[in-house]
Amino acid sequence: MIIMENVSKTYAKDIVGISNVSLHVKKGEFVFVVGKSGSGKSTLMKLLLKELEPTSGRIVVDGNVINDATRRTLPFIRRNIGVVFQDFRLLEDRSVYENVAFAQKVIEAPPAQIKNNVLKMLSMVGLLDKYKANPKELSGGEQQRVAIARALVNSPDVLLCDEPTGNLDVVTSEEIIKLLDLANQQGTTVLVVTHNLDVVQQMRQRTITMSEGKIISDMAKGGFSYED
Amino acid sequence: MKISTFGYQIKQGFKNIHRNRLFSIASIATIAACIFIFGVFYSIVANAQHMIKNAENKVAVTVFFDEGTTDTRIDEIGEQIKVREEVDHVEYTSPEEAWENFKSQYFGEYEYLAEGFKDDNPLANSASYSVYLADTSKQDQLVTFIEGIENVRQVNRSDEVAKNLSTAARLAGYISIAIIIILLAVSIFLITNTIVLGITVRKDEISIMKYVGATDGFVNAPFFVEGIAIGLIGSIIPLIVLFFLYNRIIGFVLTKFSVLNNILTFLPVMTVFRVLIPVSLILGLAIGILGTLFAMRKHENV
Repeated sequence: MIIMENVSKTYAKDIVGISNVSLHVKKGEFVFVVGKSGSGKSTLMKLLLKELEPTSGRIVVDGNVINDATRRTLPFIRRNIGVVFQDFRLLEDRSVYENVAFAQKVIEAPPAQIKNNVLKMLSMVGLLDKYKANPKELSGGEQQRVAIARALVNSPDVLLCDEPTGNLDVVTSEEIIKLLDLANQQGTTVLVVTHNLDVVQQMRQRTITMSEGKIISDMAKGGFSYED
Repeated sequence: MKISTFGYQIKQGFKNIHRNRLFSIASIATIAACIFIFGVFYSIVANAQHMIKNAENKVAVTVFFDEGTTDTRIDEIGEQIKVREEVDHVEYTSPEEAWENFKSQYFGEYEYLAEGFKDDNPLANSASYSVYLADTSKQDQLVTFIEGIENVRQVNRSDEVAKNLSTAARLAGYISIAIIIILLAVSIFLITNTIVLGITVRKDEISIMKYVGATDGFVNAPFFVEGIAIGLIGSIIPLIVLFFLYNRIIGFVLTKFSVLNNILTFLPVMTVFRVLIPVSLILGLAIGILGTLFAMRKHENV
């Protein structure tokens, strides 16, 4: 589902983002990527979304070669990739319902389908009763659940999460990770970049550790070679 | 694009205008000023040309002949003049007609005072051609030609009114083009900034749109709606103002300068607006689209 072959990214002034990274994530897998700040986790995420161009190497997501994506084809590739951010990135001038429906409108889904899918997603994340609320009226955990609903409403094959629990307390973080796990059980491949080692240990899923732009370990069942 | 998406894009475009209402109003006002000035100058130039045309129709070069020139020779001279491209048409005035005209002009109701000339036409050698010009700017050329014809005694030029009107209309045209170019540039600059501001305000929304797979067309459509709407509103307002002002100003000019009523012949409002409406709407539309395109190019990678 996600293939990176000898991918490097060097920024201006020879600053290394990632160096010669190779990675293979199978369909339906749940993978954590951990590492200190500056280890290359965010660069890896941005490369998968083609926010950055690799200096060398090949990236394939859901069968699409990301290197070859053009301005015209990229939107259609991204429709199969859901994204969740640390800062939620909700539109504060719209209700919870509209924030989730927005993702469906963008892909020009029929209005009847939008309503059905949005309500189903809000039910899944447990916010059906707050569909009229404004994001400002919600707690951090609730806002992140809206962001997850928005990321999943277009039924993507891959879900990329960049520090999804970074702004949340322990209990709320667990709830969010459970939601991601639920999406994974329903068939979505999930890649989570995180600092939250408690969650990683608790979930006992495949964990990749990065340091100085390289993968230094790739272990099953929550194993990692990194101290926070 | 689906109808529901089209409706959504239109709604988003108008939301953008509302969100940046101060900038939108500034853009609309500048475009309106630009098109208003265009409309004013167009009306002036169109009317000036109309008046010139009228004046030209009244302007003629008068040609007199040597004493004793035969009627046949006069006819020949007439033919020579008629074939010239500067000539619109030629009217012949016989000595009898010239005398009749003179009598009615100078003696008026006291025509009996001319009784003494009863059988002796004092203007017996005053047969003439009135040569009407197709283009007053070629008067000099024509006069030189006629003066060179044998048996032509004298050529009276028309007055310079038409020539001066022509120069004034050309000057007004140049000034209006210069002002319109400057205002067009200002309008495009302002509309670009308005849309850039809209893009900046919606930066987060645009980035989320792109993450969930919005095409460039979907992202850009509301900004085009915004630009086109501002451009069209900016052109419709001055058209309405000009429509109501036009007849009032003409009425005012004709009342205040009633002496010039013979010269000042204005075009009807609908004749002017038949050109002004489509040209202004196209100008507004073009300003809106150009401004949006410039804004898009500045922010392609939001």
